[in-house]
Amino acid sequence: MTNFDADERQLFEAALERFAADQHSLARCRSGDMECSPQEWSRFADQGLLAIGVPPAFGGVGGGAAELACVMREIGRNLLSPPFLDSVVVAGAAIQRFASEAQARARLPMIAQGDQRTGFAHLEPRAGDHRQYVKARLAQGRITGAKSLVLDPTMASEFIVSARDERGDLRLCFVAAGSEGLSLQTYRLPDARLAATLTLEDVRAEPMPGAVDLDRVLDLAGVCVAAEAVGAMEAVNRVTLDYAKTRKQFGVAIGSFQVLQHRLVDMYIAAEEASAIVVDALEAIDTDAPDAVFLASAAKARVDKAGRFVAEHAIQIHGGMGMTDECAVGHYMKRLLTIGSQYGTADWHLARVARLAA
Amino acid sequence: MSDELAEFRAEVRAFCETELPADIRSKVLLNQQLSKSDYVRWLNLLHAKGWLIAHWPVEHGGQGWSALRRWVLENEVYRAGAPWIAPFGVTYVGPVIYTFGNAEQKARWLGPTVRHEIWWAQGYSERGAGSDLASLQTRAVRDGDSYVVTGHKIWTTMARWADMMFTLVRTDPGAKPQNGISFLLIDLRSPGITIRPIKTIDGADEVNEVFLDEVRVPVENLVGEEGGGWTYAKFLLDNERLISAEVGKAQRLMAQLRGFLRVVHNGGAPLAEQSAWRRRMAELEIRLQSLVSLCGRMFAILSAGGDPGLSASMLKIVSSETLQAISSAHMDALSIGGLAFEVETLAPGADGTSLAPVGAPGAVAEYLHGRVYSIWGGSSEVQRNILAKAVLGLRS
Repeated sequence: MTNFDADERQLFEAALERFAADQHSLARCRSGDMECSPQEWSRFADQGLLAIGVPPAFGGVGGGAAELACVMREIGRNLLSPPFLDSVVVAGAAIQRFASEAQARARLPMIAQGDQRTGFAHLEPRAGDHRQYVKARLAQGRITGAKSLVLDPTMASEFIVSARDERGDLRLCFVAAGSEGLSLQTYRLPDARLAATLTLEDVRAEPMPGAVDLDRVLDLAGVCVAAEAVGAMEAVNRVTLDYAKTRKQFGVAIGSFQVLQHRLVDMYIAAEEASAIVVDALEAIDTDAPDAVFLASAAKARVDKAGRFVAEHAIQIHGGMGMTDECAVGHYMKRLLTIGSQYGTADWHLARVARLAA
Repeated sequence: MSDELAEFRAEVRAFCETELPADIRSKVLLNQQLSKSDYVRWLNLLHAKGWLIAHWPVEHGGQGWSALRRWVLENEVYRAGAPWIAPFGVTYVGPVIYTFGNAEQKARWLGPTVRHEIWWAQGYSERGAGSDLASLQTRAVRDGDSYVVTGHKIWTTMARWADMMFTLVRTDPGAKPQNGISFLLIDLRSPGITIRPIKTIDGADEVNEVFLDEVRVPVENLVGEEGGGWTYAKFLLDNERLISAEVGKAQRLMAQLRGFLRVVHNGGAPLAEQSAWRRRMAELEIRLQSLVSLCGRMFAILSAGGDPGLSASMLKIVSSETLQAISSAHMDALSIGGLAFEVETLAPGADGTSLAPVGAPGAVAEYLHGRVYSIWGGSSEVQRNILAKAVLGLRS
């Protein structure tokens, strides 16, 4: 993927940060309803954010993993909930890698303009976070199986669904939302976003040509969701630091206590480390470096642990206030908890790193 | 454990099997919200059995049980999935009243408290007075036969169910902070009281903020001496910490975790069959056993007539961190299949079992709620300060 040059990148990030900060609303998080409305989605489109990662030849503005991750980071920092990860990052990458020219022409420009939203249905109930375990069957252009943890399911006009064909090869297929035989059971994740289990019974599907190896697409998604966690961690650290400087007990700001100073420093280090390893993983992905697999898993594993650490201590430092729904830190904790369950848990990535080293 | 205690434990176990109502037990095991009537139903069953206030002295209707026996009772009922024995009446204010109250107060309050005809709330913390409780600002000014109370209290658990609130108020703003505090019993239906529920991160709204605007409280509701409130509050906090080692609850959460490991699959196999998870469970079992052993040491000192001193501070730290470690393992296990927080958004009639293990949403709520274990009743930082100074002799 081609990255923006330094000047482009600077302009892009400045505009993105302003835009994302404007969209932030704690009241929205507290409402418990995080579905992205068509109006909100079109604001992301107007900003040009949905065209990132799509080549200009397909109506996009280019940019690679690093640029996509910038958007994810600001989504995390501001607790936004556009279906960007699956609809833009994953669908965009999967289509560019695996779809036919005609399939790509029919979709990428629509994605870039915000006219199509795509859900990604890959994991299965018995797979857990094991990305190779796919039992859904594709035969004669029809899929039967079950898919779990499909994010933002009600916004999608189309799903990209993985299944094994008659030869046992892994395939990706387009399935229209509302297809006969397709049913959705939705539930809320801790951060109030919707997810669904998809049940497919002999559902009409349009396969992308040829067998696919999803590793790179899933690694891109894993690192992007880690970037979202980095944004959330940086925000929660800022909120907590402000609180420690202003909250008084025993006649002094609680930030004057050495034990809290050390803890705040540890939280700062955790976020810096997380940010640094994510940047390295993104660069490895964008340059197709030989250690991209290692770095992608190392980043997700490290960031998930750091996120849990930062969120738990942020609440502890806030004391009772941190337990309340009116305080931002709990909402960040829930977002970080949710991220920990997406695109491989820390344990899965740890085991993968162990296999790489063996 | 002595044979006699082991026998008692078996008796409690058998009692829970036959007497703990199934609907209440199910709610507890799934970490769902209980209603006031759920609590009262169970507390009345315990009282009818003679166990609810058995730790009280005989002259006040108890049986003078040792702290150890009470601990065995609580562990056993929590392990079985019984509701929290809300301590505000029978463990907090009751003992304060029979220890420091006058004859009239004992006659008036103790009976209805043990029968849960009166539900108590605790009015201690304020927005500006959390860890630093002695800085509380709620004022009580004597006016004839009443105190006029103005101020506010926060983190008041179950205040919306409560009839009465035992409250720390400042009666002498001129005195040293600890010396100007008094212990007042306030009727929550008095004019001038507003209760605002506080929604918490686990989705509950069990805690409240209580606002008091010129609330008139009869002078006879002062417990003990005016200005003696801090002493009574400390007496009560010591009781609070003694019961804070929630071994029974930890055991229940471990059992739930074992259940999750059987049903959550990874790569086609249940987590229970995976060596990394077996090792993790072993580590948690060892932590839990260390907590039990620490408790045992404290009770040995107590029953030998010694003063366990500040062991309670240590137990609170170890207990809250153990519970939190178990909850973290819940999250790690459930994250593997995706964290379902609210499956009740499903179509009516669907039980959600195809989406998440039974109990998963409650386990997420328990993880979120469990942050409070290291905050309430004196944060872990405050407990560590106490231990550093008073046990290790360190001075800043």
